Amino acid sequence: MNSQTYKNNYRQHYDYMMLALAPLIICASFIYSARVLLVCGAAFITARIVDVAMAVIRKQEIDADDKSSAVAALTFAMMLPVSVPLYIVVVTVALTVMVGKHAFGGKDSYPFSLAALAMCVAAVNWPNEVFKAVAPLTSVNFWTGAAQSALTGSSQIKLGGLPYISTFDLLLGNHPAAMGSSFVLVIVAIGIFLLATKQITWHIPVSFLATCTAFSLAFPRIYGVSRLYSLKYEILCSAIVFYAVFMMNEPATTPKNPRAKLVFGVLTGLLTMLFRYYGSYEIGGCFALLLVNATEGYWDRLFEKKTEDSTKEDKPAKEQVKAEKTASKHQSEPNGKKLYRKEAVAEKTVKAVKQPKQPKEMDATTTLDIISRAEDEIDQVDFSTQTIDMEQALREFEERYKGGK
Amino acid sequence: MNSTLMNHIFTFFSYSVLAIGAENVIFARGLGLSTGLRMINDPRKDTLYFCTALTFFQLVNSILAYFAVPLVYSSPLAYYARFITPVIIVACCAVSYIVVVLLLGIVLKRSTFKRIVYSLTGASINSAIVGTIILSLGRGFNFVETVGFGLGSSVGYMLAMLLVSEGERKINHDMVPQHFRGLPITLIYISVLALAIFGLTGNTMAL
Amino acid sequence: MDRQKKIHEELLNWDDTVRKRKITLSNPVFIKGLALAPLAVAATTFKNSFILSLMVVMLLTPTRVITSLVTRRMSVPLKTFFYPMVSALVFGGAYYVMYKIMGVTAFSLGVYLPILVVDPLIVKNFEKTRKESFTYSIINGLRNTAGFVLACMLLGCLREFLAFGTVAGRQIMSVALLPMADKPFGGYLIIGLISAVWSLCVNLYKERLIKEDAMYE
Repeated sequence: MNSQTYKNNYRQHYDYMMLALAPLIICASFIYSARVLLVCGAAFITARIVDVAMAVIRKQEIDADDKSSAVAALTFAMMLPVSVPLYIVVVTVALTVMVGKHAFGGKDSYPFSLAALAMCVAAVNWPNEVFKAVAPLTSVNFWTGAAQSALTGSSQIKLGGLPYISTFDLLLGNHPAAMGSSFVLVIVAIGIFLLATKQITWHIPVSFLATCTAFSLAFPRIYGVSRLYSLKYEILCSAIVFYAVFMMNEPATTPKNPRAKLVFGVLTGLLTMLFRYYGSYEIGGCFALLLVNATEGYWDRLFEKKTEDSTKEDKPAKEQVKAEKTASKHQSEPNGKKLYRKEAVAEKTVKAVKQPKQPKEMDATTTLDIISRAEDEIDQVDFSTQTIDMEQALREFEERYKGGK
Repeated sequence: MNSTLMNHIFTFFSYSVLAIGAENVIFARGLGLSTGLRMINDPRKDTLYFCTALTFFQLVNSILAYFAVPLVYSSPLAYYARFITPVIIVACCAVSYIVVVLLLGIVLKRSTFKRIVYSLTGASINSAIVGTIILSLGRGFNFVETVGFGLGSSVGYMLAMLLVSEGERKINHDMVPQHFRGLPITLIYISVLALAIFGLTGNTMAL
Repeated sequence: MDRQKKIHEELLNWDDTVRKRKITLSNPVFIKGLALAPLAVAATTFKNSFILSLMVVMLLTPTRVITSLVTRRMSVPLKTFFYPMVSALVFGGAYYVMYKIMGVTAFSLGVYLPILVVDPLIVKNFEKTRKESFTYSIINGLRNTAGFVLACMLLGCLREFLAFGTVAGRQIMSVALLPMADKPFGGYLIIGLISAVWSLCVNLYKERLIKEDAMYE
C-alpha cells in the first residue's frame, strides 16, 4: 500500500467514524435532552481550535481533513454523563489534543488512544462529575447541566449489588449511564456497518469481547444468580461494547498484523476486566487500553518476524543468490578477466592481510579504549540536545563495532 | 506445616504482584527513574542485563538490610536509628557491590570484567533498591514479605523500563516538535503510563 | 567590544558554556533529567519543595567536596563503594540537623529524602575517571545545588497552584485548575512540559547570541 493510498484510507476511516457517531448523538439527545449537542459541540470545537492553533504555532499547513482529534473528542463526549460541566470537557479535550496528539508529532504519530486518554484524565481529575449519571428522560438544565443524579448499573455491581434493569432496557440504553455508551443495539449495528465498509476488522473487537465474556463467566461478580445472568449485566451495564467498536480500532494506535490484533484484543480484554474488578474506577477499559497501546509496536514486530521466518520458500532463494554471488566473485572480475581458483584464494588472502579480521583479543583492547573514553565522557550521556547528537554517537559507536553490541 | 508453607508462598506472590502492579517503583513512585532513563539512552548498556543485575542486587540487599537494620534499633544508637538507617542500607548496597566485583574480577577475563563492571554501578547503587528497602522496613514486613516485595519491585522496574524503551522506538522520530525531543516527550510518555497504573490504585501512595 | 568578545567566545565554546551554566542552560532537572523521583512524587507543594531544597543544599556540595578529596586516586569500583557511603554519612548528619530545626515535619517526605543519598544528582560523578579539584568541586556543587533549588521551588509552587489553587498555603484561586497536578503522573507531565519550554528558551537565547554576534561583525 503506497503512502497516498494509506492517507486516503486514513482520512476515510475518520469520516466513517464521524458518521458512525451521529446515530449515538441523536439517540443520546432524544433520551438525555438537547444538552448532549451542547457537550458534543463544545468538545468538537475545542478539538478543532487546538488543532488549528498547534498548526499555526508549529508553522505547518492547517490540515482540514485531519479529523482524528474531532473523532476522539466526540467519542470522549459520548462516555460522559449529560450533566458534566462544560469546562471539564473543554480543559480535558484541549489538554489531550495538545499533549496526547501534537506533542507526539500530530496526525498518525501519537502512541495512545486519544479518547481513552481524555477519559482517564477527566476521571482522575473530576471523578465526582464524570461518574455522576443521569436517569433517562429526566429534565436537565441546558446550560449548567443540573439534574437528578442516579446510580449506574456498573456502580451497583462494583458495590456488590444487583442492578434492577430489564434486558430490553439494557439493550436500548434506557438506564442511568453515560450519554452514548449504553445503546448496545445501536452500537452493535454501527459495528456491523463499520465491518461491512471495511473501516474496522473483526480481529480486535471479537477477541476483546470474547476475552471479557470468558473472564466474566469464569469469575462472576454478582453472587446468587447464574453465570449467564451475571455476564449479561457485566457486559451490557458497562461500556465494553462501546470500547470494542469505537476505541480499539484507531489506525494510529493499534497493530496492523492480524495476529498481533488478536493478541492486542485479548490482552486489552484481560486487563480491562482486571481493572474493573480490582481498580478504583468503572472505566477500566480506558486505563487498560493505554497500557496495551504501549505494547502495540512489539506485537507487530513479533508477528512480522514470525511471518518472515515461516515463509520457507524464500530461504533457498536467498541461499542460492548468496552462493551465486560467491561463485561469480571467484569466476571473474568486473573487467571480465577470469581468475583461477588459486589466484582467487591468493587475492582473498592478500585482502585478508590488508584488512585483518579482528580476533577477540583485539576486540577487547578496542573495547577497553572505548570504555575508558566513555568514562571520561560520561557527562555527555544526558538529554541535553546542545551537547550530544545521539544519532551521531550511535553511528560512531556502530562504526567501531562492526556488528553492533 | 504444609498450610504454613502455602501461606508463605501465597504471601510471597501476592506481595510480588502488588509491587509489580499497583506499587510499581517507576510509575507509582518514580524510584530509579533518572538512572533508568540514563541507562536506556546509553547505547553501551543493555536493558535486560541491567535489570537482571538490579534484581540480583535488590534481593541480596533486601535480605542484608532486613538483618542489619534491626541491629541499630536494639543498640545504644537506637535514638538515632532513623538517621542511621539510610547509612546502613547504603553500606549493604556498597558491600554487596564490592563483593560481587571482587568475585567477578577473579572469575572473569579482564576485558569481560571491565565491560560488566561498567554496567553494574548503576544497577547496584540505585534509588529503586534503597527506596524499596526503606519502604519494606518502614511497613514492618517480615522476611517473606520483604523478599517478595523486593523481587516484585525489581521485576516491575524491568517491565517498566521495557515499556519505556519500547515507547522510545515510537517517540524517537522527526515529527515530534524539536523542543519536545528527548527528555520532555519521554516524561510525557511515562506520565500516560503512570496514569494508566493509577487506574488500579485510585489514590496516591503514602510517601 | 568586551561584550562582543564574550558573546563570540560563548558561541565558539558552546558546550563549555552550557556545562558551566548549570542553573539555566544545563539545569540538572529540566535539561539533564536528574532527581526526577523526589520532584515528580514529593515536590507537590511549596513546603515539600522547601524541605527537598534544604536537604540538597546540605547534602550535595559537602558530598562532592569530601569525595573529591577522599576518592581522588580510586578506581571506579572503589569510587562506587565510597561515594554513596560519604553521601549517606553526610545525609545522616543533615537529616539530624533538619530534624532539630523543623521537628517531625522533616519526616513528612517519607522515603523521598533518604533516596537523595543515591540519586544521580548527588552521586553521578562516581562513574567519572576524571579527577576533580577541590575548587571545582565546590563551584560545581553550588551550581548544581542552585539549579536544583530553582527547579524544585518552581515545580512545587506551580503544582500547588494547579492542584489546590494555593501557593505556600495562601489561597490564590478558589478553583483547582488541574487536580491531578499533585499526583506522580501529573508531576511527570508538568516536568516534561516545563522541560520542553526550558529547552525552547535555551535555543532562543542561543539564537539571540548568534544574531548579536552577526550584528557586531
